[in-house]
Amino acid sequence: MKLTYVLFNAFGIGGTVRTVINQANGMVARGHDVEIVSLMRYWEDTPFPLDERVRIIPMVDSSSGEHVDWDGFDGEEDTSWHASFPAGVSEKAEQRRRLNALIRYLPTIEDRIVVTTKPSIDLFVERYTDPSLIRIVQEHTNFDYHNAEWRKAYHGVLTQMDALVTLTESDRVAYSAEFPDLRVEQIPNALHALDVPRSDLSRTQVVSAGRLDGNKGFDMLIQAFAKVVETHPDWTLRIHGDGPEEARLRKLILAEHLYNHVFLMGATNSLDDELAKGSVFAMSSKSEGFGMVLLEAMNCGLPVVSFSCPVGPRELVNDGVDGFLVPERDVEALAEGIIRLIEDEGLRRDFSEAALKKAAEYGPDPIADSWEQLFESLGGGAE
Amino acid sequence: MAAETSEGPGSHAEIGQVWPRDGHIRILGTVVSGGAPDEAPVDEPWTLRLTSRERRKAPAPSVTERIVNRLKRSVTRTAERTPPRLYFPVAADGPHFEVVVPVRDLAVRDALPREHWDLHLVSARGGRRLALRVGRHHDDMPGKKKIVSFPEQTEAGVAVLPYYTDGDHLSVRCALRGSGE
Repeated sequence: MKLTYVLFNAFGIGGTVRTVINQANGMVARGHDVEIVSLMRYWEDTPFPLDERVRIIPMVDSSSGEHVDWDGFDGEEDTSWHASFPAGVSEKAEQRRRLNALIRYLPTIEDRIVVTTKPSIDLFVERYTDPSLIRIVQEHTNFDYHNAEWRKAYHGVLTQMDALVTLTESDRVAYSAEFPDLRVEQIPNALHALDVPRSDLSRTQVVSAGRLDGNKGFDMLIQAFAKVVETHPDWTLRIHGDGPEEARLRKLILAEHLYNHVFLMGATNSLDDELAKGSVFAMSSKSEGFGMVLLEAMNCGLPVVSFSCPVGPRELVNDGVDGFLVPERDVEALAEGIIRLIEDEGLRRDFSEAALKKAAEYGPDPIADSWEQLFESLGGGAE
Repeated sequence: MAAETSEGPGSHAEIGQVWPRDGHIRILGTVVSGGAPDEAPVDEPWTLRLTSRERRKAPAPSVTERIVNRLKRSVTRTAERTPPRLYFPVAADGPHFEVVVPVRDLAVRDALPREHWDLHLVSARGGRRLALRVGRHHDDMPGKKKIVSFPEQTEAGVAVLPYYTDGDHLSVRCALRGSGE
């Protein structure tokens, strides 16, 4: 099979990029021809390891310091499409340049399965690729996430696609109800590998990871940890990731006098190694598309404590078996969950064992099987 | 004076916690050697030494300055220069130590616009001087300069801020704040 993944930015750090790169690596390893179209490129290499057989095609390549379109285009800007897309997408000049490059690229795709990974990109793929291609939407955000304007724009587009794939079962149900004529499947994110460092559960360390933005709720995690150190001052919390909330979170750490206990570690390229240093993983998100990092933590053998977001964590965590699900935005409950795991090493070990079993279900092989089956059922195997 | 040694590269004063609050900087830690707590006795109690990078580099006062300073000192003590090294007593329990630096002791009368103090625990063993750099290296978290921020405390117009250096050692930065800041 020949596959083209269309991605916003293969060179950024985030859940979508990580999972698409995992998928691309998995499919190329099975002998398929795989390329990734990335709207932008800032660095030579992707932050997550990419199999060298996967071709990356940046629409605008800025890795040399200069902005270069994939086809070297240097003509007049095409603005004819602006009115027929939500206003936001054509707001900024650099965004318009990337999308113009994409608009020129998409019609050149022949005889390939196209997988698109972001609503704004879905719209362009639907409009500018050959409709006889197999076109699949990989939805990384919850159904409820989209606002009215986007839903309207989205509605007509999705029905033209061959399938929509959600990460969670609750999203599959929601999209199926909204689009009765569209084929909707659920395929969760795959772990990049099952062979990763394992926590020995001995360190007095709680770990978390994610973009430092309002949605990840790290302010609530820090407040919960303030309660944890009252009774367990030898435990620390490490939060991996960066983002717009960093300065505010640092202020909170100073105000709560937690500078000996809570550490904003910055972004990391070796998340598995960092996760394996922890003995408990905590997730404080207000919402999650899937909760990939939770799964990655379980893959490192970590027991988890998470807010039971509307979707995502509640499908990944089996409460009381491999982790604790606590009520959303309940700081007290989050602290209590962490403390229970801190105080009970036996429980940590039981949860850890169950977490490893759970993670194995999300290994690269079973998930790649699901994708191959979907592609084949849509006629993708016929060559 | 006997030569100073750092007791090989594996010896230092490993920080457990730093508490910059309530007008003090309290540091708790453990003297370590080769990665393990160093239980060996010392000749004299540990002392915390703060060494100013800027004052060390300051040129020796000129003859005129010395005369003027001597005249000033004959009238008042206020003209006395802060020495480039300051010392604070350390409470030790085996390899574990605790030391409290009052912020007002760093808010010196002749504060420089910006000044950096490097911290060592000093003592002697078998007649040899020991100076162990204070830092944190055994927490598997290199690069603390970007990870850990401590609160700044201001006393007499001098803002005092402990911080980790590029090499994960602990230093204290003092900055003269203009009035109204």
